[in-house]
Order: sequence, then structure tokens, then C-alpha cells
Amino acid sequence: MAEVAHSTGLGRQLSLLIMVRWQTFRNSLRSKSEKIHLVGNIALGFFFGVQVLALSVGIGFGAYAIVMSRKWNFLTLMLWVIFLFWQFVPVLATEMNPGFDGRNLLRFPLRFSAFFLMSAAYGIADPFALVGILWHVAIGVGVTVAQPDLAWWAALALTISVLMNLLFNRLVFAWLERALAKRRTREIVTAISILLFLGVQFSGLLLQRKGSALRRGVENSAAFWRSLPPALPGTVLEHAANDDSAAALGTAALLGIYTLLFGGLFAFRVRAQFTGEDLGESAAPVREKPVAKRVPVPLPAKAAVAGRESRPLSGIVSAPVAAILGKEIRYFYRNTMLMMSAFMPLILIAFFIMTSSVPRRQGGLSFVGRFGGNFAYPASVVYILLLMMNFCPNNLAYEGRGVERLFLAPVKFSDVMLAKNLFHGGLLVFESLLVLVLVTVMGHPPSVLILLATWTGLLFAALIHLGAGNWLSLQFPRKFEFGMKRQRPSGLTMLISFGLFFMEMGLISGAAFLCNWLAGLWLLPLVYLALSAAALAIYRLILQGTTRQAIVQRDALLEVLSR
Amino acid sequence: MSEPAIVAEGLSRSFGNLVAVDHVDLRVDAGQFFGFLGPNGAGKSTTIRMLTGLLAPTAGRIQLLGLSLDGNATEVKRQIGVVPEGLALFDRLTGSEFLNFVGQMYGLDRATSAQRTAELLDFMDLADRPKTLVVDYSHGMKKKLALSAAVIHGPRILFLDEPFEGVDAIAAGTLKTMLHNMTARGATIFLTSHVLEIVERLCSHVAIINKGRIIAQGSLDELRAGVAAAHVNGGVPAAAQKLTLEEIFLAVVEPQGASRKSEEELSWLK
Repeated sequence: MAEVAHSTGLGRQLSLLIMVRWQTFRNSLRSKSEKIHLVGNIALGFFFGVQVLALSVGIGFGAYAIVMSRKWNFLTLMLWVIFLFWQFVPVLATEMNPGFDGRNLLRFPLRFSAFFLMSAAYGIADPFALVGILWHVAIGVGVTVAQPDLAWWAALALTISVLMNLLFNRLVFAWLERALAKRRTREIVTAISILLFLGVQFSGLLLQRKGSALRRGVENSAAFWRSLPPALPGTVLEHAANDDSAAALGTAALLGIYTLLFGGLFAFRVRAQFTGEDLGESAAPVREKPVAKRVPVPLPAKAAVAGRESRPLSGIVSAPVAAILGKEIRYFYRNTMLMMSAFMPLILIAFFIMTSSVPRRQGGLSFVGRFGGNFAYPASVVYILLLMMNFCPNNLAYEGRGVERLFLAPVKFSDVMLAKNLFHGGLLVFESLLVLVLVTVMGHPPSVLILLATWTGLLFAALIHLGAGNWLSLQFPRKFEFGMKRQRPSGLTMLISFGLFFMEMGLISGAAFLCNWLAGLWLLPLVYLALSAAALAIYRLILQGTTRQAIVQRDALLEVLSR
Repeated sequence: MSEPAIVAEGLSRSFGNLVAVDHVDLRVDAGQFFGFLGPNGAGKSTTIRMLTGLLAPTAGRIQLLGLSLDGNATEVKRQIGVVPEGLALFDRLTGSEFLNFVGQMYGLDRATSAQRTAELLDFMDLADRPKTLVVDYSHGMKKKLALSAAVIHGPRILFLDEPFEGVDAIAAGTLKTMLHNMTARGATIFLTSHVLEIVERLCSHVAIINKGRIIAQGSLDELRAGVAAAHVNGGVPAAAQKLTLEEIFLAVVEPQGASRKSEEELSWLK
């Protein structure tokens, strides 16, 4: 008879989980790129760590000053800020990925208590939670230094507050995970998060116009904000500082009840996962049709293929190029993130033009005022050109396993790149025209000379970017996932792209300066046209070379993009 | 002797120190239904990837339909259809959009591509989900879509890497009929599968690869005769003449190991 394994203790299970995580991390460092990525993360972690520590010191001093001055409303505000940071920044920053996936653990003989604790403990591993805890500690230290007899009250209230924040955060993520299990929802939430960021930009405008009314509203509802869980630790400390131990204890108990409530709601979600809830998106089985089917027999190649040439689309591009172009357009409008990043500059330009109509308190120059009516358009187009760096230098990023199809099909890779360039070029032209409408309607239309100079300059810069982008896309490919933000091409690609951008801008402004000095700005469009002709020659050279380059890079491309 | 559709000579591929495919010689005649077998990690998919132009060989020569793959890649690719291991689907297109895309990539005009797409989707039972993106398809549906993409242009050679894995029995039956009809009309099919019963039923010729080397190649009867003869020489009764493909496979790949392993037991399951 086979021997049956004994049950494993919770501690052992947790240590096994940590060990698996460690082994996964260690194995991931086998590749050179992951090692470089780790070094980058350490450098970034150090940079943010210093900032977080500085803020912690500030929060500690702030808490000290609040206790000394007895201005408890500021402690309420401080705790609310920490709460909002802890709860919402991770949601916006985690690229809308479901976090802890406990389903992998369900195959093991795990008790619910162990599963629940693991799910909850996962929240502590979040850097935002660590920052939140550190700031709670800073408040505790500040309060204790200001009034040592509040130390125990601070420890009690802030510990419950940490637990409340932790469980609320896990609760939010657990329900979000349920919602985000569906791809479409994931993309919608990502779009909403971007709009929220955008809303923050516009909030400055709102504050400028309705600032005093908003402030009055917040002040009038202070009692309401103080009754909610994030502010309760402050109320506990206020009561304790006023020697009202019963009220302090009652408020701490209320905070504890909130914490238990959040824990209970979280346990409800975890229980669903524990009992095998499947949030997958697998399609339902295909319904079989009862009727007998005719079996199509594709004609052998000689009859089907021979004599069939790619029919040009409207006499401009071949059928494969048109097919890829069609695919690019579909991929674009189905990728919320890509759409958002493509049209975000337009919204920001509109924002800049709008703010220029608001009277400035500090007397600074507005966007339009700063550049003058004539130069608002070229400046906006330069900004639009920057968005190209999100697409062109990594234009195979979203192909996934489909990239194999591009190698299997009887198509030259230069055709693939041409189709992608046509799409990106078209997008650039479309956005430049939209910006022209924006600038004309909301600001001042540019003169014909500036318009011509802008377009010819744009042609030059776009050709350079598209050509270089083709080379970079094949040389340093990086896979992107749909519906996820914060995806960037490789560091080297970004560096080269920015280098090219500054070189283009240098040439464009240098030419403008020289023309203005030597003959007048009327010469500028012609100079830019000459530069564009040179850029076109370079572009064509690179484009023709992509077929050979793709063959040389084939293994790397398939490995990186179709993983 | 008929004209060879696929010829590979001295085909090799190394990944660092690992020799995945080691001097493989293959010859598949036009119109043949050819099974390419081997245990996990034997080099089947690597060989198919080289034959279809997805992977450059380290050494060797490939000729498809009389054309060298090296110098005539575009022309050769126009005449072959492939279901690769990873299926090579664009998962943010609908099934219909994807097939139309593939059709046009192979040079079909829009009308022909649309007509064949509709016919294939109906045939594969994918037509009742016109707006579903490929990413939301089940594995079996993806496999059927990849098969549709492989045949939409009427290829003369079809490379299929595990085509029946994840496909339901009804669809598998229809597919087999379609593939048989294709060979009857002169197309060549090169297929890998772990389901040896399917290969035995479909294929007239088989090659077995192990550890990157071809260890047996020929018609099923030739392989059967070879294995039976080896067993007779080894003292096994000649009654073993009617061997199944599974028996041939085990005898060729692990002459002693297979029977030894099946008799072994794990210490804690005794």
C-alpha cells in the first residue's frame, strides 16, 4: 500500500512558498537581460528609497508638530493621504495584473486558514504597503517624542490602522482581480486609471477656478471624514491626549470592528478562490452542428496559386502590405493602452491651450503667450513627434506568436515594415491635422509659411524616425502585452531614439536659424524638403535592408516576441 | 520513382553545445502522407521549423518541390502550408479577420480570400462566433483556426506539428478526411504526432527521430519487416510479424529500456 503524506504545518507551508519564490527569482537571473533589469531595479529602488525615507522623516516631524500644537485635523489629513496612497497608487501602478494567484496552491492539502493567511500576507510584500507601514511608524515616533505617555495609544491605534489598511488593500485587490480576470475589463480599468491621472492634471485648473468653494466644502464635512476608518487612529490619539481613555478605547474598538469587517469581506472572496472559483476566460465548447458537412478540399497549389499575383490595392500597395496595414489598424483600436498613448498628447495640448486662457496669479506666460500664435503649432507637432518613440522603435512589440506567421508567409520583411510605417505615418499625419484644428480653434492659426515649414520639417523627422525605428525594432525587439501600461522598449532603443530626436531637432532649429540669418524664413520649407529627400534615401536603404536583417535576427525575434 | 517533395540532406542544428538535430537525411515523395515521430525532445519540432524556414540550420541542405529553401524562400513559402508548434496566430483578430489576413498574405485576392474564409470557418465549426477574438478561443478552436490558415491558399506541401492535439473527435475525423482528399489530389503532408494510432491510420511512410538522429525511415511495412527481422535475429519468434506502430516505435527507440521501465515500480508506490 502506498504511504500517504502527513499534513504540513502552516510555518512549513509558508517557508516552502518563500523558497519557491526565491528559486523562481534566482532562476530568472540566468539571462543577461534579467541581470541588467535587476541592477536597474536596485538603482531605482535606492532612488525611491531615499525619497521615501525623506518623506518619512517629514511625516515624523509633522506628527510631532501636530501633537505639540494640538491641531488634530492635520493628523486626520495625514492619515487620509497615507490611506489613499496605500490603497490607490498600487491599483494604478500594478499594470492591472492580477497579483496573488492562489489557484496554483489549491492542488496541495492546504487548510483555509493557511490559504487566507498567505493571501493576506502577500499584501505586505507590496512596496507601497511597506511605505505605508513605514509612514505609520514615522507617525508613531513623532507622536511618542512629542508626548511620551501617548506611546501605547499610538502603538495600539497605528497597529490596528496598519492591519485595516492591509486588509482593505487585499480586499480591493481581491475584488479587482475578480473584475480584471476578464481581458476587456482589464483594459477598461487601465483606461480609467489613465483618465484619473489626466484628471489630476486638470484638477489644478479646477482648483484655480473653484478652489475656495472646494476648500469650504472639505472643511464643512470634516466631521464626516473623521468618522471614517482611515482617520480613526487620529481620533484615538486626540481622545487619549485629552485624557478621555474611554472614548479613545471606544474609537480604537470601532477601528477594530472596521478591520474585522474588511477581513471578513476579504475572507469571503478568499473562500470563493479556496473552493475552486475559476476566473478564466476559456471559451465555451463549440456547439456541433447536427448536419453533415461537405469536406472542402483546398486545391493543390498548382491550380490555386500559380498565376495568382498580389493584386495592388488601389494601385498603391500590394495585397500583403494592405493586409498588414489592416491588421495594424485593428490591433490599434483594440489596444486601449496604445490608443490612449497615441491620443494623450492631443488632450494635453488642448489642456495647455485651455490653461492659457485662465488668468495667471503669478503672472507667468501662457503656452500660447510663450511661443506666440505662430509657434504653438510647430511646438505641438514636436510634442506629437515624441509619441512616435512609443511606437516606431519597437513596432513588432504586439505581434506575439503571430510574428512566426510573418516568417512563414511568402512576404518580404521590408513589406511588413512598410505596412507598419504607413500606419504610423498615417497616424502622425492625422494627429498633426487634429492639432492644427485645435490650435486654430482654441488659439491662433499659424501662418502659411510656418505651416509649410512645420510639415516639411515633420516629413524629415518622421522619415528618420521610421527608418531608424525599423532597424531598432529588428535589432532590439521587446514584447509588449495588450492592455498594460508602463511598457517601454529596451533602454538602448530609448537612448538611440532620444539621440536621434535631439539630432533632428538640432538640424531643424539650426536650419531655421541659418535661413533666418542668411535669406529669411521663406527658404525654410525648401531646406526641409532637401533634408527630407536625404532622409528618404536613408529610409529606403534601411527598409530594403530589413529583409536581410530579419533573417539574421530571426531566432532572436521569434524567441523574444513569441515567448 | 516519383518526384520528391521534401529533401533534406545532412540537416543539423545546434543550440550552444546541444545538438538538437544531427545530420538528418529525409526524402518525402510528392503525394505522400508522411509521419515524423520521435520521443519528447528528439528534434521533431526543430526539424519542422528548419524545413519551413522558421529556423536556420547550422548545416545541411533543404529542397522543397525541387527548389532550394535557401535561395527561393518566398517562392517555396508560397507553396507550403504550416501549422507550427505555437500555432502562429494573431490573437487580437477575430477568426474571420485572421483567415482573411493570411489569405491575402499568400496573395489571394479579397473576394477569394473571403469566400475561402467563410467556407473554412463553417467547416471547422467556428462560424457561429464571428466577433470572438482569437485570444478568447479555446485551445481546440485555435488549433482548428491554425489548420484553416495552413490550407487557405491550397498548399502543395502541408507541415503539421501535432495537428490533432486538443481537437475533438468529430473535428479530428473531418480533418482526417480533408487531409486524405488533399493527398489524393497530389498534395504532400508531413505530420508529427504523439498519437501513434492516428499516424498508423493516416500515414503511408514514417521516419523516427531520436536524440536528433533519424533511426528508422520507410513505409510502415518496411519498418515492420525491419523490426521483426531484428527480433528474429535476437531470438524472438517470427509470430511478431504483425507489429503495431507503437510496438515498432518502442522497439526502435528503446529496444530494452521500454520493457524494463514498464516493469519497474517507484519505491513508495509498491
